[in-house]
Amino acid sequence: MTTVVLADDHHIVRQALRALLETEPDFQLVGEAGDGLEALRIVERLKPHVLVLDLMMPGLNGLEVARQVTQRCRTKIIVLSMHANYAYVAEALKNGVAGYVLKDSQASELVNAIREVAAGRRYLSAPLSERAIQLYGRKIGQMPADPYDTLTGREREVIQLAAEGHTNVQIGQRLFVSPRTIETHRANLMRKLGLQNQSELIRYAVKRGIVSVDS
Amino acid sequence: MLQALIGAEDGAFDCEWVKTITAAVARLHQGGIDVVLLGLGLSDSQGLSAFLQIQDNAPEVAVIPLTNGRDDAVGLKAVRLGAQDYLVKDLLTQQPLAHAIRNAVERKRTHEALKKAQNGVELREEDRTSELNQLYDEEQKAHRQSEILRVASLALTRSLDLDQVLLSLLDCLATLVPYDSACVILHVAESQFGVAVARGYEYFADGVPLKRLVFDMQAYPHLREILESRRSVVIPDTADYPGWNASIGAGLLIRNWVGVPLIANDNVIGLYSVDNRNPDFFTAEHRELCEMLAPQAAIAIENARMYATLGSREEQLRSLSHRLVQMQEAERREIARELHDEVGQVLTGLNLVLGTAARQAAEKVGEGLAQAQTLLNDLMGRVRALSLDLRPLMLDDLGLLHALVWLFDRYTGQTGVSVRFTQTGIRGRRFGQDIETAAFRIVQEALTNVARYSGVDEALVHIWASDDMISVQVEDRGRGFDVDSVLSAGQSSGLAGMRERTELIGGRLTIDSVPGTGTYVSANLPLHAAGRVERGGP
Repeated sequence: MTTVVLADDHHIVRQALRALLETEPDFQLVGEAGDGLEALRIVERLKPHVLVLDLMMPGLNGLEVARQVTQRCRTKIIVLSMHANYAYVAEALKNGVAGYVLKDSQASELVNAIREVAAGRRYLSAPLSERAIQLYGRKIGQMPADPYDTLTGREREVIQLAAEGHTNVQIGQRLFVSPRTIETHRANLMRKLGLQNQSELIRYAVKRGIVSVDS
Repeated sequence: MLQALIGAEDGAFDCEWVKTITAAVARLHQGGIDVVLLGLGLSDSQGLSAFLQIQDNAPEVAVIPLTNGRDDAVGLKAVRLGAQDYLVKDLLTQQPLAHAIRNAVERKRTHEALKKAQNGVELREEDRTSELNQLYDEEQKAHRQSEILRVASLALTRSLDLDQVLLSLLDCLATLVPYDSACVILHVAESQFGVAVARGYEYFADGVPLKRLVFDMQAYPHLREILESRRSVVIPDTADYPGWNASIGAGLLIRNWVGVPLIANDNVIGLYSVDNRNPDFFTAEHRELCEMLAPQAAIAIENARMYATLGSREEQLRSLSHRLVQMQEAERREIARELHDEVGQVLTGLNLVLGTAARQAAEKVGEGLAQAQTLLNDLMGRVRALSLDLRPLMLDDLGLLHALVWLFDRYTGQTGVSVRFTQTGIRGRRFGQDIETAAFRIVQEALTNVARYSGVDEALVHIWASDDMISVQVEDRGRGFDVDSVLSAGQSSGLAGMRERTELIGGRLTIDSVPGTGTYVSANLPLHAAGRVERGGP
């Protein structure tokens, strides 16, 4: 027998889920919660095998409930969510969630998910896949190793002209924009590259080969 | 006999003998005499008149009249008039004579010292009195000045309207200094100053349009001197002042000129000047009275200017909130339309399908329900999309980075424009809700512009955050546009919206676009609230 607690702030959803779970003889619904804090209390008291958790709830949102539950007990968590977006899936998994089921999937999916996570496996709703989660993680993690890569095209033009000794006014004339705009570009690129002053800028530009020493 | 008596004193006294008052007076005038022993029966003067003659001619010398026994009353009178003693001739013996002479000299010295001391006291008293009179005058003057200041301050602070303040200043000056003309010159920008108010110049020249005249103070020596010395300057006679011909007063019949700087927050914010057609007309007191008004006037003018700035700031906020209300209405109209067209139609379909299923034979119900489920899933998709259009909940739930990645996917899907994205310092970090929203909306708006106007299929987004700032940059290598003409043509609700969002949270938006070379939008948003414009409730 698998014990289950339901947490969802919508009464209608809880009612529907209860009806669904009652059709399965090996599931026993032991408690229900209408908000995040209540969910946390009930799970700690009843220690069910599985918690079916709505992602967005008042009081304490689902992600935070998941994080705290996995820290305190061995209850497996299935998140019910309307978001098929990988940002949510990735965050949920990061917080220790074992299953992620979309609200618009077939009713039978939730039943399968409960059986899977109770048996110690991970479950993702049909359109979601582990592979996509990895890809997403890589996308998010994409951080430029070299701060130079974060420079805009304009900033690259400005650093070169500045390193060649041109003033903001001269650079502005060359690029057909106001000196004040050039000033912004210069300030931004220096912040990005962590440069304090003009001589550091020149040294950086020479080291990167943006300007040559002879020029 | 006297001679014998004095001689017996063993050289204690030097004696000289004269026989007449005239001779005595002549001798006394030569000095060196301490005591006169005066017989009252001399040939040229007798009695008290002899004594008085001696006293008048030598007031510092002790006098001892020698009386005959029957003239006792004369001796007493002489003592009353200032003689040190008197001796009765017939009763003289050696001892009391020497004693009397010494006493007389001593008494006379004491008397003289006392008199001198008394004179000193009287002199000091006179000094004190004149000192007191002077103090009284000064106190009166201070009182007058403080009264002038009080009245001036009342007049100057009565209004927060700059023009009113300036007119009050001219009025106050008029009550203090009889000027023929006066004007107030205020700082405009850089070294430019402008005449803010002027009075009386019609006397000199017909309708000289002095008001709002803007000029460079550095170009006029007397004005430059005020700027540099930060003190008032007087030109006693402009005819003798070499710089005057080059000044703005040229052509006017100003002869005597006084200019006083207006200093607020340590800056010379302007000056006021009074003029007279007569040379050397203004006195030192006139100048002093002119100067007295300066601190009050400077404060009043600064306050009025600040108030005016606040007013225009308020005006900006009002028009901004007006636009926000308009935008909100436009959005609501859009939502209402979508709810009606998209959601409403599907719900109608669902209603029909379920109604049909209910009347169908048992074996066909399953088919109807499956149809209903398809419609339902479609409906869920539409509602979700609608909700995301309104506001991506992800921004609140997961933060800026996730929301942006989602935005780029969706944007590329809808427009075919791909996004190259780099970020530093925002992963795993949450910023204030207003900052995350502003950053997200600025990127969204800038990307929309790229898709609409640039004509390229790639946009670059850079975001980097430090401890105190987050910077959002969107660039494309597309068509570009002339920023000024687009902004002024008012066809730029997108650009203006971005600028407003940025400025509302105290940031700065830079749009750099040149036709033919692409567009670059950068918003630097401070993470701490300093300098933000407070906004009222919704």
